[in-house]
Amino acid sequence: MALIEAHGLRKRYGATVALGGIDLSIEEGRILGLIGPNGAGKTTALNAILGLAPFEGELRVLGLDPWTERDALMREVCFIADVAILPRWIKVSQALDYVAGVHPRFDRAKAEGFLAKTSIKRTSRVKELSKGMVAQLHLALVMAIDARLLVLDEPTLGLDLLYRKQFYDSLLNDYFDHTRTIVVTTHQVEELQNILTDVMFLNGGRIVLSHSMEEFEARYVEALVGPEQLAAARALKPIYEREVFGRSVLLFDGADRKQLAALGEVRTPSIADVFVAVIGGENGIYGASAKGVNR
Amino acid sequence: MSTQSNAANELPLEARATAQTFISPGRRFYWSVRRELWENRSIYLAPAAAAGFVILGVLISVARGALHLSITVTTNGMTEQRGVAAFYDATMAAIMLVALIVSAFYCLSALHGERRDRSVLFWKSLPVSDLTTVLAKAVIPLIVFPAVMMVLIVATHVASLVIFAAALLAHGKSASMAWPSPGLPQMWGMTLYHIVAIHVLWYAPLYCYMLMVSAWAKRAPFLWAVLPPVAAGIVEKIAFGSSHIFLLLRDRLSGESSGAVTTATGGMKLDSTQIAPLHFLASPGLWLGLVAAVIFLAAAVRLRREQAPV
Repeated sequence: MALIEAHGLRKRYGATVALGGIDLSIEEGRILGLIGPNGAGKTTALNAILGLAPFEGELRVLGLDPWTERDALMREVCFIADVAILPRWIKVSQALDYVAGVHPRFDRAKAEGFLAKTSIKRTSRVKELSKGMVAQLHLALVMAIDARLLVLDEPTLGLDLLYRKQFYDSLLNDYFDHTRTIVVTTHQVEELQNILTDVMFLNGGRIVLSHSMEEFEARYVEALVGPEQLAAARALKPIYEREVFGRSVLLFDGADRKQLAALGEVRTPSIADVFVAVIGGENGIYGASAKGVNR
Repeated sequence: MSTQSNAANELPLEARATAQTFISPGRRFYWSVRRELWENRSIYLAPAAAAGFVILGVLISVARGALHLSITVTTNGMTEQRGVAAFYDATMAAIMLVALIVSAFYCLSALHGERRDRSVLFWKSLPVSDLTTVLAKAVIPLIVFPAVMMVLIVATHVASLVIFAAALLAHGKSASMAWPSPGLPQMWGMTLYHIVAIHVLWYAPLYCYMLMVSAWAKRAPFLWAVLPPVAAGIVEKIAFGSSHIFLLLRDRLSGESSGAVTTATGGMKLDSTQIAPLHFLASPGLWLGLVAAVIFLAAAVRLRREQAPV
């Protein structure tokens, strides 16, 4: 059985449908990026997975029902729900004491080791730390917990580039091994692309794309073509088209790479490019720039 | 990273599951109470400050040479001077009053503050159940505050006694004038009884009600705690001309029907004739109140589980 298994997972807030009956199956050892515009249902889905909110439909996380068996689940699952949600009054040493006091899988020496690489002092209170340092502290606490599933909901929002890079580097180098599973949502997709093993797009409470990164790279291809080749390239039915420095960049879903290579430079698109094409097209946000594309 | 933790990472899952340390529910509870004390240092600092001011007052009065310990008490329009015992009583009342106020504010913010600053998402990411958390918060007004009150009252009494006795001796008077009647041990016994009967058992539903409101209210838990009962009382008064709700509230606050205090003279007083545990234990208000307290706490646990950060 998969680590996370959902069938017809749905959630409504009054008349608003936040999640419209999604099916998903996440295997152990994957790093899944859950990408979607604001209001797509990412946090709703994560809240259901973490047992923070009730839901409709079928959902098992590590074989447990997250809503009714939350206490047992939290021994195996850890999450960072937001940046800077550590209580402002707590001292770094108190945070270490407390987590060591309540979490059976917390390795204090490991957390101290991570903190030693930062400039965070044991005697500081969270309110005295910068936002980036709070994120480092939270990550140090979480990485020292031997959890089977780690859920990160916008863990780097509002951090500068250096902290963001360091955050994902430590996650990958010091934490991830193939028995752990990470689910992460973020708007800063570019920084995440090379650490993900799977990618899923949510929009309007539905899954609109779900691939492993191998599938993603095999399926989506981008071609840079000059004006003389544009008609030929358009005939291959790109899903999205934009212009960069007088050349057209066409994004294809499942086109023949050899055929495209004859027309121009071929490369693998970034998740962000595919996101804009798929979600922007659906939501009509980038409709103007996508005009002239054969659909 | 140490080599040891590297090795732990490479263990198969089954082995890792057994490698964890066992943490008993009692230990989780202990750490949960400790974290309340870390966060809310006013639990002990505010009553301690009240005790400090009492002792400061004593020192100043001694320095001024005012050795006649008396307190003016107004009873039924007549002003009466009472002796040294009244001073010790007043000390006790001051510490209790401060502790009561701080404890009410604590209860109203306990489950609201963590949602307002979103730190509830951090607490909920750890394997501590909502029941453990709510019980740890209920322990503060029901056990920690009463214990703090008792310790501070005894300490303040002893300190005042020493200061007065020393001052009396220095003036060539008998130090025994600083000793109240009834004596301090009897006074402490009555205080303990009063704290357990009124502050813990009789007030338990009030504290638990405030905890419930703080788990429920999206903002202004103080108003949400106070206004609905008052509004209900006003509606009752206008619609039916009766005051059952107001009387009930007054009785709960004054402890009148508990049989554990004398309120005949207007204020809550300690009186050795009132130490009648059987009468207290037989009062229906006590038991109904405790049932209500349990219901409020259960509701608080449920609300903490369901409410999102605000």
